[in-house]
Amino acid sequence: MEKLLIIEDDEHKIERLKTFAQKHLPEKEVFLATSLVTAIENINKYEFSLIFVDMGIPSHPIEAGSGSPVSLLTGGIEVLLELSELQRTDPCIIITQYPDIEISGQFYPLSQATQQLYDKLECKVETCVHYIEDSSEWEEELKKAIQKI
Amino acid sequence: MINTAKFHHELKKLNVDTRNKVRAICSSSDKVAVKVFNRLRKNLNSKELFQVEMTLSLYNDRGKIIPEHFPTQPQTHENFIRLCSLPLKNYLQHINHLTKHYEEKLLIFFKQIEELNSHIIKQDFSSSERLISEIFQNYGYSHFLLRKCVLIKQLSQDDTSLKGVYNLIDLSGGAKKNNLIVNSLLHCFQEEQDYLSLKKSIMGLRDNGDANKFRRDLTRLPFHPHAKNAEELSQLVQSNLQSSLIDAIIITKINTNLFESSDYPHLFKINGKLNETSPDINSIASTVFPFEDPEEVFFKQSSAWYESDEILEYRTLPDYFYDSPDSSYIEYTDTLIQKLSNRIGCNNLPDLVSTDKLTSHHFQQLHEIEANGTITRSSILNFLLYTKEGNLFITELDLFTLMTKTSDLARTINIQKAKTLAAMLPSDLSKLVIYLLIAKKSSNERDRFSLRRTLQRILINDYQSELLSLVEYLAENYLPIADFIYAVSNEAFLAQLSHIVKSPKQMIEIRAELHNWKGLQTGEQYYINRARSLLIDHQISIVRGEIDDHRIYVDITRFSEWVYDNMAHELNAVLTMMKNNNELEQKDNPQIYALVEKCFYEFCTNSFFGIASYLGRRIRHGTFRGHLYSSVIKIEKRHQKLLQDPVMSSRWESWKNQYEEKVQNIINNKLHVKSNIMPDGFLIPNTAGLEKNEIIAACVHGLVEDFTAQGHTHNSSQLISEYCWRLAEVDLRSINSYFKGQKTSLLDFSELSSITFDHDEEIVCAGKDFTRELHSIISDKITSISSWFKRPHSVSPKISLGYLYKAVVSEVQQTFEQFSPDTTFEENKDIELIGGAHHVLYDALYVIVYNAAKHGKQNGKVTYDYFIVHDKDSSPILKVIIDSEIKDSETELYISDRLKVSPTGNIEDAQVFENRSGIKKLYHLQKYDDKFKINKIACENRFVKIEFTYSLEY
Repeated sequence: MEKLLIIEDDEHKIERLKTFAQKHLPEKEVFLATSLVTAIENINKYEFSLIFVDMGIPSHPIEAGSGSPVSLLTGGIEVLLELSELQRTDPCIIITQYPDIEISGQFYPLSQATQQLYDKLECKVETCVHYIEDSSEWEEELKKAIQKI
Repeated sequence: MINTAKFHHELKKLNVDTRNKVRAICSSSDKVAVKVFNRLRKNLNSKELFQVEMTLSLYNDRGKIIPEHFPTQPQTHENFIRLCSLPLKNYLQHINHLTKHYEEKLLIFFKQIEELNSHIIKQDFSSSERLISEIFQNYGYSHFLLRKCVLIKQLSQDDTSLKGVYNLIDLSGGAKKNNLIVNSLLHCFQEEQDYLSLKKSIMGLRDNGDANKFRRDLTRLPFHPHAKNAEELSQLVQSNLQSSLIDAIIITKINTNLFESSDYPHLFKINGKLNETSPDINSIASTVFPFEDPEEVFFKQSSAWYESDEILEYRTLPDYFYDSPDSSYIEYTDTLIQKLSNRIGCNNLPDLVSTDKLTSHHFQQLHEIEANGTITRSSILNFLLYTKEGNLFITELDLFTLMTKTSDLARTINIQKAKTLAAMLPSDLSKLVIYLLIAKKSSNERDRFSLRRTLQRILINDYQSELLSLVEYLAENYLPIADFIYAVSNEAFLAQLSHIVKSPKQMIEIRAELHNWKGLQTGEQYYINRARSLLIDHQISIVRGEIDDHRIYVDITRFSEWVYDNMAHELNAVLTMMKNNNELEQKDNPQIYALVEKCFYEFCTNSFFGIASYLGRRIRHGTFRGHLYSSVIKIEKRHQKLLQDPVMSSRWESWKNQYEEKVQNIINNKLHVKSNIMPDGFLIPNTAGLEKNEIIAACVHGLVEDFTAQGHTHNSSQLISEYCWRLAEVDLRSINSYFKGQKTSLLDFSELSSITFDHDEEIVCAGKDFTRELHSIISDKITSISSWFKRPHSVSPKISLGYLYKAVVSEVQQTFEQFSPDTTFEENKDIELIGGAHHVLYDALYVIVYNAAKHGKQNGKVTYDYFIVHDKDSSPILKVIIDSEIKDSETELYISDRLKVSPTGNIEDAQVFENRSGIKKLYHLQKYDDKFKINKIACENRFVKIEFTYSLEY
């Protein structure tokens, strides 16, 4: 069974993405990573036919009494770099709630981010989707992106 | 007063047209006069320009336009209206003319400089000082002379009896008046100053155009006097002419590569004569041998010898290659590279490690200084990387050795070329060293990733995934590399070592281990305390069992870099000024307040590393709304039947709209940094208000105390970031109060509840269930949202005294399982302390509780109380009282006797002989922390009663 990895820590967004996956990608087994460390573990364990990547994620899972994970504004990029290091080509789509992405100390609008990620970091992503709460535009955008893969 | 006769005499030497224009300049307003003079300067030849300046200089009202060639007063302020820049040729012709005109005077001046130099070399500072006064009287002020004064000050180790030297420094506006030109020079020459930070700060001074051009050009002289091109040299010459003629001559001497010297024969000749005043570079080098790092001091102070061609030759290499290659003022021209290639004595990295002759001159003392120092070797490494495009080879052993003989490579290395080098190196450890250098400077995520990836590979393969083992191994022979790893491995870095650091707990333990290592290695207790605080914090968080989901954060690495780049120099200058004015004891200074306030503003507002970036990216965009709105209204899916009722449905829709508006209102208006555009933003990036005032005062005192104790400001960034968190926490508390206040409005279900009056019972019951569930969901959401707005413990420790006691009891229970005193406390009456008191309070509590568990009555009563005592005349005091019941079999007299320890007796062995307990340890704490005081240790009414206090900052 093909695998989909959702890297996301916002529980509401997770649910929306899972619902989206059930509807549009029913053939895929869904894996969830709510932190960088779990994302890296998953990547090193499985190959994925699709990965949804959020940019801002915590370093570690948030658990009662386990201390503070570090908030990583560009944690998603770490995941892309790990894939690149492993010479993997799992298709990645960035799904972010912020209209810009910080790459190498500069902000780029989502429309430019895909190219900049490649130019500056040699990281390949299919596209960057702007997730807006209570809107369905992102779903359309995401559907189109998935069709192109 | 105008000497009319002389003025007219000089005026007559001009042709009629020029004469009329000079008259116009004299009779016009400043603005018109400058305009006319600017036009005139463009068209005059050097002889005519000289004559015009001579004439105008006699007219006092135009004194703001024409600087003196040998100024009677120090020129360290923007005293002159800046005229339009002329082509370099015009300035050089003008100076050429001036050197001809003043040749005789200059040559006598040079004789005195030669004599002065000779005194300095002989360390005869009294004679030097007398001559300084004489030169100033006869030939006026110059930055050149000021540099000699500062050199003498440093070489004489601040001998204040050298009045002539200090008078000129004071008259120039430093060190007591915080004049930028003078103070930056003073700092540059100081042994303990961080030269590169200072240089970056000076070369990056804000460009206010003509308003501060003179200041910018003069302050850079000791750091980077080289012009990039003819245009920049024109500006530099103009500024130096404003300072004095000799300064203008020297700046042309330094930059002869930008013009043809033979076109200006008088200037060329004078520059030659000037060089003759200088002692040879070996003699200059011998003056710094007594210092700990002779090359560093030699380099820092070498601008005092700019008259020397040999010094200028020496400086070119480090000026260009001991600096960030990305600096806007640096350009590697073919001529420069050729010149340096001729000077550099080694062509490959193995030679760079082994040779004692790094450069190809014949000055033995200089060779010695260069070989034993780090600056020339670092510069050559950077030069080779640049010229060979990184295609170099070095063995692991040689690379490690090279790292112990170089410095500041992380700030000066060329990232691209270093990457090429890393790719060619044979071992992972070699690559790691290069990636460490690259990652600190690079903003590219892949560079930092490569470092983490390589480090993890090494740790997994060879060090059982233990970072400390690698650090200890490296520290045995290559301490700088171990130190570098320690510096890089902060919490944020460790958090991203995803293959080996699997939990925040592990992250804290590794950091604590590294702090401990550093403490043992340096002997500084600070690091060991820091390690203990981290572990205690973590232990408290386990006891608390809370979910730590803070989303407010600051990238401390980047913030610290910002502080170093933008504040370090100014802070240093103010503190040095306070020191010179004997004001350090007062601890207060408005300029330091202003600097901390600037830091706090950046801490809050910076869109890359400040709170604003996390507020925007981790909270405002999506998450907050998803949490408080979208996930709340999902309730409708579970109550579809109820919502099919038309009345309920319409009321629900109406409530939803109002609720959405309220949530959106919080997002749009509150979740921001306060500004003119966002007046209701919760985070106020200033220090107004009583509470913040107390915190900033404590910060300023802390900075002054640290400077007084250490003599430098290296810890300032750490201190500032700690206090910025405390300042931000004031606003974080206020937003949490705001959320609590909003509960009433967000939990307003009156419209939904009113349905109960006019519906059948089933709907009424369902409606009640519905609103009850809604209430519960929203309450939970607000509670969890509140936890986002807390400062992370890991970046700035804070303790709850209630939980501290729980943590101590929990640790004691590991030894005495039966021991179980009541540790409950009322959270709303709890006290939270911020700062470094952690380990002291923990240790004190541990001693007392351990004693109670070991010697007290089994299942006896143990009480713990704490409160803060405020006193008008002193800072607040935390008072802690612990009472523990004694065994029934023991008498009070017996216990009292056991508790007796003479506070003046030998308590040094407290940590050695009494294992983990003992009243002696409390006295030991008292002895080494003047904030900790034992008030009472006694046995009364069948209880051991111990009371201690701890002085708080605010």
